[in-house]
Amino acid sequence: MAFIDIKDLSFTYPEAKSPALSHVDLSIGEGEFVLVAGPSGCGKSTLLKHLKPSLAPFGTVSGSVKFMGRPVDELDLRRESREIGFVMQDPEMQIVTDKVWHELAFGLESLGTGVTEMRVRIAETANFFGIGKWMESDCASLSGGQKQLLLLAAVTAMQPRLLLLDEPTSQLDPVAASEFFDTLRRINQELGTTVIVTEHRTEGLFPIADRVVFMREGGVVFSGTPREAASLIEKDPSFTAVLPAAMTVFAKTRGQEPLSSSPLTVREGMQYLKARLGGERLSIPSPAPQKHEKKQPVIAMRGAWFRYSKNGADILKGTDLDVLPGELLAVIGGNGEGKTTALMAASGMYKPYRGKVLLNGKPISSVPEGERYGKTIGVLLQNPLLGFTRDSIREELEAVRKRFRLSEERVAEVVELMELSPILDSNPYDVSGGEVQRAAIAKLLLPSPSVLFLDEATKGMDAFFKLRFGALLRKLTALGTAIVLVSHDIEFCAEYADRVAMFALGGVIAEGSPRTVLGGNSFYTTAAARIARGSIENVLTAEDIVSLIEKKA
Amino acid sequence: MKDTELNNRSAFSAVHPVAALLFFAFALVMPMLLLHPVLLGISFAAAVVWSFLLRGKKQLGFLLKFVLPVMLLSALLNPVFNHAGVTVLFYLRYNPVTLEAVLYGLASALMLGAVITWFTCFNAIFTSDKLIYLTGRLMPSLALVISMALRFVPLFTRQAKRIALARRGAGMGTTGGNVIERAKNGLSILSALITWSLESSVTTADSMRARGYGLHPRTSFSNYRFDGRDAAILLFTALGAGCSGLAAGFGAASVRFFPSYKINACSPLFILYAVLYAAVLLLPAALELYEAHKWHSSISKI
Repeated sequence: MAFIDIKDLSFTYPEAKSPALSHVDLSIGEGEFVLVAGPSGCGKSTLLKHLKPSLAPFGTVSGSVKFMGRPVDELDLRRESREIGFVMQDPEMQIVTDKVWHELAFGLESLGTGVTEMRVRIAETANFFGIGKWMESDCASLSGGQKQLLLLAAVTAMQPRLLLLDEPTSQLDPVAASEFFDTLRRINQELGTTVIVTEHRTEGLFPIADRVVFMREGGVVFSGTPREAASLIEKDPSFTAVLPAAMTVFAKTRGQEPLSSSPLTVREGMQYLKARLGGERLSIPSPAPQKHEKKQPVIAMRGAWFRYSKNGADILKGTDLDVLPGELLAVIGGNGEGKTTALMAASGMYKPYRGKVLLNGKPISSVPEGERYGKTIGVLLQNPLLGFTRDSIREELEAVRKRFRLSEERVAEVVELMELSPILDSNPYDVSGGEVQRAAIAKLLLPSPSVLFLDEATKGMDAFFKLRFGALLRKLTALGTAIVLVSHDIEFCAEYADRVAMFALGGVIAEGSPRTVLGGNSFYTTAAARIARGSIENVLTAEDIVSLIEKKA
Repeated sequence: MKDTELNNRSAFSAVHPVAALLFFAFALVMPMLLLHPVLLGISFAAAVVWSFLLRGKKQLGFLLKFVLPVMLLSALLNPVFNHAGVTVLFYLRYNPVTLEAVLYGLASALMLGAVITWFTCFNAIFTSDKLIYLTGRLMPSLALVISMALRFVPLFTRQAKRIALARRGAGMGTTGGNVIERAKNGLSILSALITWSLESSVTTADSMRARGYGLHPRTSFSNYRFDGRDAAILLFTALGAGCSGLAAGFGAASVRFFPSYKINACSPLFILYAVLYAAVLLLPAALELYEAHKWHSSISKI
């Protein structure tokens, strides 16, 4: 008897034309760590929710889901909440109470656990997760990563046998995400809890998972060990976007090697590459230094100093940043270094207390707000949903059109450019994260600004969607709009940016083409570059390595 | 996160919430029941001493900028508007200003000062945790509602700021508009805020349900233990309350302002009661000082 047995499960949402799940068969053993991957809307969240009856969506269901031999919907709420834990995407919205200790206690309080037993459970959980120090804190004072760890702890305190996680790190930065994955691995290894996690960030989970399940359009297209997943690339090259870089390199260059020897981690990738090249050292010619045409920068920040409070620490310490017309400038850097602050200062939203910001050569503060934002500058903050007030994207665009007295044709033009027609009448809260992002950018584009500032625009996007999004940004820069993208997503920046500025220590410490800035770094760079370290110089993407080996052959 | 109300570590904040609640009930209610100037003076003085121990410099500013002006205003306004009493001191624009009204004004000023200052202490000591604990003992679900509200209010404010910023960055902000434009913008922010809170409450509800919310019976977690010291504080406060009842019954602390001023301030019974009253109210301050002293002396032995 398998721990979880899903047989021929199909599900259709009310009024949906096509099923969200079609004929899913899956059986999972106790203690397994399963990664479920696939593009947004492939049905992975829906599948996960069917394992937790209290969250199961309404609609037409057929087939069966068995948990420990019995249909899962026969579990009563008490057993279900104790044995099946569920963690969702957005940490802020999942937190219920105001204090850390209360959040940890919440589930136990629901179960009616006695105070003495609760003390023990909470103490041991806090100890396991290392959160004893912030027990008395307000939940609001925690970072996103800490909040998500707290939620994981709150669920684990109920001693579940099955943990379900629906894109738990989509709102976290890479450092917090890998910490979260480490904790998940410990729960699985040290407590023996079965873990099923859906995630776009597959690179960090492949080495941990016992099994990988790929879904597309409601069906399971692959289920097997992580190493076997390399076969996916051979069937469909678009999977390159989802699989770890080491695997992509392997799958495309393996020759006669069996799939079971596929590398998963950067370390294994390095070993494979060294063996594959037979110790030979190659190099991609470094790009010729770009001739700077004497273009006047749209935005020029000079020696800007900024801090949030009078006695606080300086976040910007004499920062210089130029934004040239029609370029895609990526601002990258570690967590909490102040990338977002730099964006806010460069766009004039925050005023540096020293130094200046020039907009087309004029001090930005001399341009009245009404002229500055909308017509000249567009700023998109994290969580694009915040800007939406209306019931449909169409009404939202109409409001902007009226505000700036634009023509209906302009709206149609932007709708076409941002590929919005299929979702024009949808509520912004009902479409996927990537689609909201597109709608929000469309709103900014309407009054034809010359610079767009985007903060963490690729957050929560799946790998397939990122390809489209990158192409879209390229289209915009080709039309002359400058884009400043602040991002943690090094792989995306390496692929699509014209110029990269690395932000650290309160200023831009390196800038230039992605290859010059990232190619030389040893860890703040792409996975492919790390794999190629010591064998090939100046690598940025897995494609670089593959084409070099193919050329050699 | 450090509690912002507290300047120093407080010994009294470790007292069990039930004992602390009884103490505050006593300290806050007594000045309102007994308008005896001596007792009010004791209460005000005890409250000021403790509030300084709790909040340090911050309390000085509060006292000078808020408490004293309020007291002064009350002391001055009473004789101006209240003309009862038989001892006329002088006439202010044909209206008599009486000694009784002046004294009554002073007494009510002391009462206000004492109650406000005890409230600052209450605020510093009674963190949301204690409030939730006390409600949780009676109604666990109400305790949860309070906790959720405490989380939601600051979240709402923060979110409103983010929305305003997002709108500004999209050129849909306020600046430059007239009153109507600004009101419209405010409404848009409010509407975005409501949409957001409705959406987020769906997720919160799911997260609650996933963790068994709705099962009965619900319990309430706390980490408070009732020890000997808590019992002593509780008993001592109860003793103070009982004696206050007796003192009132025997007329030991009687005071009359109108029509003529009459006060009982010298009888042995009153003095005895006043000493006890002072002892109860000075208890927290004494506890703070005692613990601080013990800490220093134990350090000097290390």
